[in-house]
Amino acid sequence: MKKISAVLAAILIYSSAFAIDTAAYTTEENINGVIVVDDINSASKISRLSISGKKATCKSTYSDRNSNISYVKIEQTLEKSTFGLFFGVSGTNWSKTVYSDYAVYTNSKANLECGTYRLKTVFTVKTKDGKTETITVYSDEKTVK
Amino acid sequence: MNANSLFYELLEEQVKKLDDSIDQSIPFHKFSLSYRLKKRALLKAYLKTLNNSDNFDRSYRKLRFYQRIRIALLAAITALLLTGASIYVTYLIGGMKAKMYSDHSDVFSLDDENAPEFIEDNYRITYNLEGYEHIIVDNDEILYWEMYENETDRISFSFSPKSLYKNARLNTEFSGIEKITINGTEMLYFETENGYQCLVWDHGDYIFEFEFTVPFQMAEKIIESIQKE
Repeated sequence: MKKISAVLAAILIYSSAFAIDTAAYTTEENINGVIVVDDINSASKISRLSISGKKATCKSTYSDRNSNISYVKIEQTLEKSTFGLFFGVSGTNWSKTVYSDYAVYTNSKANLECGTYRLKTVFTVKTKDGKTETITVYSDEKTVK
Repeated sequence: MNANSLFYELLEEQVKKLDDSIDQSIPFHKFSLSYRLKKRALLKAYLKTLNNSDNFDRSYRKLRFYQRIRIALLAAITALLLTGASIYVTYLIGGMKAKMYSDHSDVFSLDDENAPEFIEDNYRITYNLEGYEHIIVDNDEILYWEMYENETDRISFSFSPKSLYKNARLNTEFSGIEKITINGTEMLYFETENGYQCLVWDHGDYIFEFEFTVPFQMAEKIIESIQKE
C-alpha cells in the first residue's frame, strides 16, 4: 500500500512539474521567429457543421475588433468517427487566409458515407507585432444516415 | 542456614521490595488508528487462515477497502493532472449553457430538437444606421451575418440555427460572463480587453449574436429594432 501510494505521489509530483515546464515552453517557443502565445483576445470562434442528406456544409467563423490583427488563417478538416476516434475525411482539408479581423469560411463535401462527423477548425491569428495564436475548435457531431 | 540460602533469601527480599515500589497499574495508552486497523487485519487474517497457514501472508497483505479508496482517489487526481483537465463554472442563460474557464468560455445551445436545421426566417436590423457602411459578410441557409461600420465603430449582427451553435469559443477572459436582460430576453454578455462588447441570446429557433463598439444604450435600441422580414 505504501509503495503504491509512493508511486502515485511521485507521478503526481512529476506531472505537476511537467505541466509547469510545458507552459514555460509554450510561451517561449519560437516558430519561424514568431512567439507562440495563447488566446489573443479574439471575441469568438465557431465551427459549424450542417448535414443535409449525404452532404456536409462546413462553416467556420472568426470575429473580433482588433486593428492589430495582421491575418487570420482558417484550416478546416471534416472528420469521421471510427470506433470512437475521429479521422480526417479524404479531400476535406481546406485552408484560407484573410487579412482582416473577421472571417467566414465555407466548404462542403457531398456523397458522404453513413457515420458520425464533426468539423475541426484551426484558427491561426497573427498580429502586427508578431504574436501568433492557434486555437482549435470542434463543431457538434452530426450523423449521416 | 548456609551462605547460599541466606544469599537467596536476601536477594528475594530485595526483589520483593523493588517490586512493591513499582506502580502496578497499567498506564492508559491510546493506540493509533493505523495500529488498530493493522491489528484487526492481522487477527482477521490469522482466524481466516487458521487451518491453512500458508495463505496467511497473502490474506494479511490484501488491500483493505479504505486503502483501495485511497488508491482510486490518487489515481483519479493523477489522471486529471496528466490529461490537463480544467476547472470551469457552468452558466445557464436563456436557452444556452456556458462553461466558463479561466481564459475562455464554450457555449452551447440547448433544447434544439425541434428547431430548424436551416434558416427559414429573415431577421434584420431596422434601426437607422445612416452614415455606417453596410457589409453583408455571409448570407446562406446556415448563417446570416451583417456589419455596420464607420471610422470609429462597428456593429455586427448574425444568427444561425440553434443546432449549429455548439462549442462556440468566446473570449470571456477579460470580463467573465454576465447575464443581462434586454426586452425581457436573457442574454449572455461579455467584453473583450480592447472594448468589443458581445451579446448572445436564444431567439427561439436561432441563436443571435450581436457585437458592438457603440454605447450600450444605442446597442439596446438597435437590438430592439431587429425584426423578422
